[in-house]
Amino acid sequence: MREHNIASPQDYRDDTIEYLSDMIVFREIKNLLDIEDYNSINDLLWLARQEVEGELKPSITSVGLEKDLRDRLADNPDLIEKGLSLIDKEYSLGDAGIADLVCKDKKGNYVVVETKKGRESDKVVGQILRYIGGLKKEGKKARGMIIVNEPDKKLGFAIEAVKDFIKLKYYKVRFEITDNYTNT
Amino acid sequence: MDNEVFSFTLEQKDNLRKWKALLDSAQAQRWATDEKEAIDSIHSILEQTGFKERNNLKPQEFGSIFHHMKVLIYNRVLARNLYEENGLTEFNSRLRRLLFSNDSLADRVNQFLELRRVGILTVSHFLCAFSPTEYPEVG
Repeated sequence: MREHNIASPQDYRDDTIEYLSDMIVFREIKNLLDIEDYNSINDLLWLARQEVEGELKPSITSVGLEKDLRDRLADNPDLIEKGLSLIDKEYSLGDAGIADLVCKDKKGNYVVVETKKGRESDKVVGQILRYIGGLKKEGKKARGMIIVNEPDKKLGFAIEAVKDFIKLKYYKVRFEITDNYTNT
Repeated sequence: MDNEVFSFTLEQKDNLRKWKALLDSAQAQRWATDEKEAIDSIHSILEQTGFKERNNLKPQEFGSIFHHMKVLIYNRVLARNLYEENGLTEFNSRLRRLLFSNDSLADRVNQFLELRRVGILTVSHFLCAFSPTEYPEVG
C-alpha cells in the first residue's frame, strides 16, 4: 500500500483496501497494454471472457435476457397490463430490497412487477411479498405481478395461496433475423 | 498487496497482449463511442451545475448522471434511493469530496464507502465515470 501512502491499512475500511488493491491490478493491465482508459480494459476483459468461454454460458445469457425483458417492460408497461404506468425500475425499498419494476395501475394502486428468466421456482413469491410488504409499510396499497417464461409446479402452488393480490403471467420471446439492422 | 510485488505471470501477459486485439472489433469500437458520449454528458452536467464549486446536484440531475453511468457498466444501486437514504445534501457533499478533494485517494474512497448502499463497484463506478484515464471500474 506504499503507493497509496497508507502506512497503517488498519486505519481504513476493508473495502477501501480491497478497492486500492484491485486498482493496482488494473493499473498493471493498463500499463502493460498501453491502453488510455480503464473502460476499454473492462470491455477487453468482457470480450476476452466471451472468447475463452466460447459461446456464452446459459447463466450469462439469462442475466442478459432478464435485464432486456425488464427494460422492455419498463418502456412498455402496457404490455403487462392495460393502463399501467411506470414509477421506476430497480425501485429500492430499503431493507425490503430492490424491485424490478414498480408501476401504478389505473386506480392509482402500486403494482410490483418481478421478471424472471426461464422457469422460476417459488422463491420469487417470497421475494415479491417482501416488496409488497415494503410498500405497504410506506402506507401504499400494493399488489404484485410475476412474469416468467415457463410454468413451474411449485410456483403454481405458491401463487394459488396469494392469487388475490399476486398474478402470474408468462412472456414469450420472438426472434427475428433481417438482412439490415433495425432498432425496433 | 503491494505494487512492488505484484506482477502478472508470463502466460497472463501473453494472454492480455493477445486479447488487446479484441478492442479493434466493431463491437468494442461501438462500446467505446457510447462510453465516450456518456462520459462527456456526465462532465457537461457537472460543469453546468457548478457541482465542483459548491452547488448540489438535484434529483433530476442525479437521474441523468445515473442514466449515463449505466452505459459504462450495469449497476442497479444507481437509483434515487442511493441519495435519498443518505440524504441528498450529505450524498452531494461526499461525492464532491470523492471527485474533487485534494485528500488522498484512500481517504476519499473511505469516506464514500461509509454511505449506505455504496460498495466497491459503486465507488469505482463514480470515479471511472468521472475520470476513466485515472480510475478503474472494479468490483
